[in-house]
Amino acid sequence: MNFKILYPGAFATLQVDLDKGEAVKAESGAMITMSETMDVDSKLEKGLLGGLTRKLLTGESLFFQTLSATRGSGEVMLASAYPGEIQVLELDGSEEYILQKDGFLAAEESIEISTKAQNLTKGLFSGEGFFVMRISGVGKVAISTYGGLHKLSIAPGETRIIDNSHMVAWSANANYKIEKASKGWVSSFTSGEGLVCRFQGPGDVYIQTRNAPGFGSWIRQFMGTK
Amino acid sequence: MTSEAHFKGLYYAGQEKYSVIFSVSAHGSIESEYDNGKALSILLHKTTMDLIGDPETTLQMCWTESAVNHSLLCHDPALLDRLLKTNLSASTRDQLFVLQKKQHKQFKNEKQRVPLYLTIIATIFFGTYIIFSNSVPFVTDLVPYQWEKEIGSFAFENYQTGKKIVNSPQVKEAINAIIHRIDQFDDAEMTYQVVIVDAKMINAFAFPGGFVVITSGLINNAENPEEVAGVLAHELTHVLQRHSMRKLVRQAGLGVLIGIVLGDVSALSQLIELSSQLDKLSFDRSQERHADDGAIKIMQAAGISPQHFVSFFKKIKQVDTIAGDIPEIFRTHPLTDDRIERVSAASEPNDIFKFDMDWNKVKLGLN
Repeated sequence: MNFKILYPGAFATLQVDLDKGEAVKAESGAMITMSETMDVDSKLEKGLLGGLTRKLLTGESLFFQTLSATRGSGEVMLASAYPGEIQVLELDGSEEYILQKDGFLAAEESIEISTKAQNLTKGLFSGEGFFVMRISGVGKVAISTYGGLHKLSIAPGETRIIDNSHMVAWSANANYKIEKASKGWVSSFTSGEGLVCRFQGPGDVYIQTRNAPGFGSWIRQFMGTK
Repeated sequence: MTSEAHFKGLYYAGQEKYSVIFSVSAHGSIESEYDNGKALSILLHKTTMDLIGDPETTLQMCWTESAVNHSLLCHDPALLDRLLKTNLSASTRDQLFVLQKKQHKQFKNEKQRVPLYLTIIATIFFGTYIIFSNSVPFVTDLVPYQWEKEIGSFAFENYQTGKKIVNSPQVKEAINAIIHRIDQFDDAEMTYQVVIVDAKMINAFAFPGGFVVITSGLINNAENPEEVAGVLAHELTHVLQRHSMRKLVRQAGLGVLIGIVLGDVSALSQLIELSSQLDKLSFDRSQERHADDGAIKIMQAAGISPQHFVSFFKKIKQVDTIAGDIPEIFRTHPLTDDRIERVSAASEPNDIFKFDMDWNKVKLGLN
């Protein structure tokens, strides 16, 4: 199976080439076009309970779609609903990743996706909610971002401060703590940063260069009231 | 576990990351080959160990070499078992024991987190629902009468738009006389306004604030004015007991509920917006029972036999069976046999009052 990124940049699109018998799972609604040899099937990842848990808890859709090359080799094009980059992560089983709810685009069938509960502080203040997606296994995973994608490799002992709404995916080993952006509560919020995440290395963190809530509140000022 | 045991891990040399397979010797030496032939060899007691990640279950072994931080990570719980079987100093073993205990606890907590959160969410959800539904009657009582009147008046006007109204003076006079009789015995200082809608369906209802709607179909199907009085006494009890206001408040949701408590006028505008649904809101069984009891009380005080109310019930039920269609009035007021039984059992008033009108003549005014 081959993952290729077309039109890198704001409107990046993922092309997946599959041999006969291979299948790729993708976020529901992400398919743009596919070969005639492919079949679409919706699948409840981890059964009905797992699907419901994911729907209720992470806000992700109940079903993932599985696109299988059943009648011969084929290709499929996938993209997320919002403009932004796509990155393919290669998992070799030694590392697991945590994904924010809109981050998942597609993955090989061998990748396992589960719902993970964050601790109370993170659930309340990280902006990601109490539940996030955890991806593990061996294979390729495509993640999508809003805006540009930047990878931060944090060395052992190193710390990095990241605005919580810019996090897309991070290695499960990289521990983070939620804290206020500056020393005082008032200056934290008047600076417009509010709460931030302090990541402790080692680990990789993929961040997006724009954030959807920020864009939302920016665009709202130009919209007339009802 | 043999001394040959191999573990999968991640090795960091500064920012460089490698996936490695490493082995642990009997003397606590960690050995690995990585990145096509490079060798990694470190003694466990030269490293600083801790648990990282969320949950903190991944064992991290850290050391510094040529001013660069190195780290070996492994999330396999079997590694700690293996390390405890090696020849290590008592202090290192103690530290490993503490880490293993912490790791077990973290795994257990992680497993319990999802059910725990689900329980918390469910409790908050049901708690809010229970508090919300139980507080509706109390909060509805806080709605000022002026608000109720404004809401009712808006819904009343709105309802009449596009409908044919019966303007015959003899019909209006007759219905007003019935309302006036009820008004004298309802124990309330509410003034009623009534409109007669020209429609075949059998229906009557009252909006909050005392705005009454009655259809020509109901008048046509009533044997005498006393039957109409029974239906209207029932409808007005719904208003007096604020049943429709409760439905409206419940429909409006928590935000409006809080708005009412705080006296926020925007809650009024939201209630007005919703009021167009008022004629379609149905009442529950206990509200129907209370309205029946109220109607009986008013009828007894006004000298009208509650049996007229029963006879109307029965007639409608018959129409219902023949037409095979539920009359409009019972779509919102479910009619059950026990309701008929309860009203039938009501005692007769001491002094019987008779409306001074020719009911057939009144009906003729509808045509």
